[in-house]
Amino acid sequence: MVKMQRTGETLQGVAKEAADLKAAMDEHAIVAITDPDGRITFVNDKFCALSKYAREELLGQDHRILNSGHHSKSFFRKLWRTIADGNVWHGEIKNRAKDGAFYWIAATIVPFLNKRGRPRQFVAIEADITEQKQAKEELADKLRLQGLLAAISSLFVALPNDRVDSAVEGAQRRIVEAFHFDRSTLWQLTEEKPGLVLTHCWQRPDRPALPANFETAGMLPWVEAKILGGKSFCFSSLDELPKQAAPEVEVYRAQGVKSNLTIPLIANGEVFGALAFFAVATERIWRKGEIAELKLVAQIVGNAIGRQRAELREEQLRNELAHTMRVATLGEISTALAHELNQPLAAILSNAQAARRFLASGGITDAELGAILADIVRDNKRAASVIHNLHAMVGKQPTARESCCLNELVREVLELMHGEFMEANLEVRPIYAPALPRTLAARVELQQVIVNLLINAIQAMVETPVECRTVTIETFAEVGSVTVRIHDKGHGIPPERLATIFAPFVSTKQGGLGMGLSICRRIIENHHGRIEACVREGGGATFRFSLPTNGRELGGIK
Amino acid sequence: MQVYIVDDEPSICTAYARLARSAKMEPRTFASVEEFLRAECTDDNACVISDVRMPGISGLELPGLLRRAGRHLPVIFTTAHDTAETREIAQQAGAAAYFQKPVDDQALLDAIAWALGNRSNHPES
Repeated sequence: MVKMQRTGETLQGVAKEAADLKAAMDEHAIVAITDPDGRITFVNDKFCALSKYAREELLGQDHRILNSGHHSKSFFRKLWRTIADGNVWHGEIKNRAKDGAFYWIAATIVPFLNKRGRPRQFVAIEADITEQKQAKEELADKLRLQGLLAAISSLFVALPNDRVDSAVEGAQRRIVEAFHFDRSTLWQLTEEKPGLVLTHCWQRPDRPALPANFETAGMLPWVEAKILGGKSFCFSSLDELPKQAAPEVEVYRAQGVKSNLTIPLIANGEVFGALAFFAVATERIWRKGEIAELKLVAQIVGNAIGRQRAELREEQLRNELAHTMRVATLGEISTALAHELNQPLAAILSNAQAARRFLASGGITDAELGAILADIVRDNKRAASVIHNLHAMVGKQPTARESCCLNELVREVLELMHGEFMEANLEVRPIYAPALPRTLAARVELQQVIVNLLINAIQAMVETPVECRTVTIETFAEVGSVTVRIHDKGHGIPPERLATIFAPFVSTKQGGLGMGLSICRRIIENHHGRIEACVREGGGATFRFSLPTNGRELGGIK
Repeated sequence: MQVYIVDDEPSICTAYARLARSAKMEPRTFASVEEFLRAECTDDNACVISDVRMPGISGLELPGLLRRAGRHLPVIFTTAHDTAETREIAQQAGAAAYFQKPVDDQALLDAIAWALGNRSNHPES
């Protein structure tokens, strides 16, 4: 009896103790109890609070109600095998709450066995580790992003212009893969077309391709206005787009676009394009931190493309200026050219008309007629070559490099300018070096330089007494280079001007634009050569330019 | 009928000479004013076709030089470098005619005939 009573007290005490423990546990942990079939038989308040389900919604359900899709099937198979075999399972599980939010728990699941040694129920004691997990994930994300940004930045360091395009596409690919996007597009304003033109695109191989030559003009007015206004924008689903964006919604729907982030590209304070990222497969939420990172990417890419655009523009301007110069030079020598053309034309006409007269009167031998025709052919070719040279000089064709002999170039220029020298009443003394090595050059550009230097020489000698008016043009070779030197006996160059004579807008001529010599220098330096001027003893000036014969850069002025 | 052709361009000299021969005239060619002046050319029933711009003495000086030497030869200019200024100087120098190269055969031959006819009609006193 006493024993019974004691046992009763003990039982009471044990029950009380168990209840206390359970209360303490409920305060501390998330608890769920599941029957052997996996149905939930008990959840504590903390479990309900975290999963956001009411108790009655959970009881009788199995744990799949919380499945986040994060873990593989084998993960859960392993878990079940462990506890079904009567072993304790420890691990971390990512669950999905009723409202769709994810949370992580660290769980210990203890199987309780019946007399036959089979599981009677499973008690899961869990702790919420969402915050630690998130912090860890964010840190990993951040590190990954920083690595990515560093990699992308390094792609663009000291990148030559012709490799910018492939670097841009490389960056797009890395971003799309790292962020799980489906597509990245890059749009630019061009001079040829209105609106933005698609210039770079990378997308996952299995995604529907964008239509070729897609342009925003007339297609995406709202997007275009946003971009040109320098505003970035994003949407997670097409429903978020405003009413004005109805045309966009239509286009995006046709292209299967679900979510988008678009960032304008800016150089020198001006928008010149945009970088866009798209989700096609699923809708996507854009996190603030993520947007900030992608803006950084847009800046890196924008800088590279902006630099490329500026250099292309500059190159174009330089070419236009060079063309203008050639046309201007042509103007200066046009009278000489008219002379060069009219001479052969006059001979051709008189020869042909003489032949016609001879034929009409029957007083001509075959030999005489043959001689006339031969002369006509020769003069015709002469006229044609004048036109050919002229066309080559004024034409806007790209300046291809070819193997050139400076002797030939000088000879051709002297032929072209023959009339000019006569007009100026001066003598030209060419001195050609024998067996001059060849150099790789744009023929027309070098001729342009020679013409410019000769015109300068002619103009410098306007005041020179006629008997002293000579220009010597000389070619010679040195180790690794060939040189053209032009001496005149004109007014020379004031010593203080020598240093700046090749700078643009410096002219010693009245009314001169001062562009000639700067263009000459640009041409020669583009050929890895050097050009210099000096004053001659006894008056006059000397200009010389040297070009490498091996394609390597020549050093500074000796 | 004698035609003296003064031009530093050999192909022009040859072509003009052929044209003269086709019109039954007798041509002689010279590469410069100096060469022509050195040659002993008759002034009877003859005329000169001269270039304007040549190395050495300019063609434009030829009418004056001939006049000062007391010779009576009409000079016809043909030039590949036609400017209003050249044209005016040629006229003042007493050119019989002035043409831009290329010159049409009929125009040149008419000018020769006209110059010679003019000369015979108005002999120098």
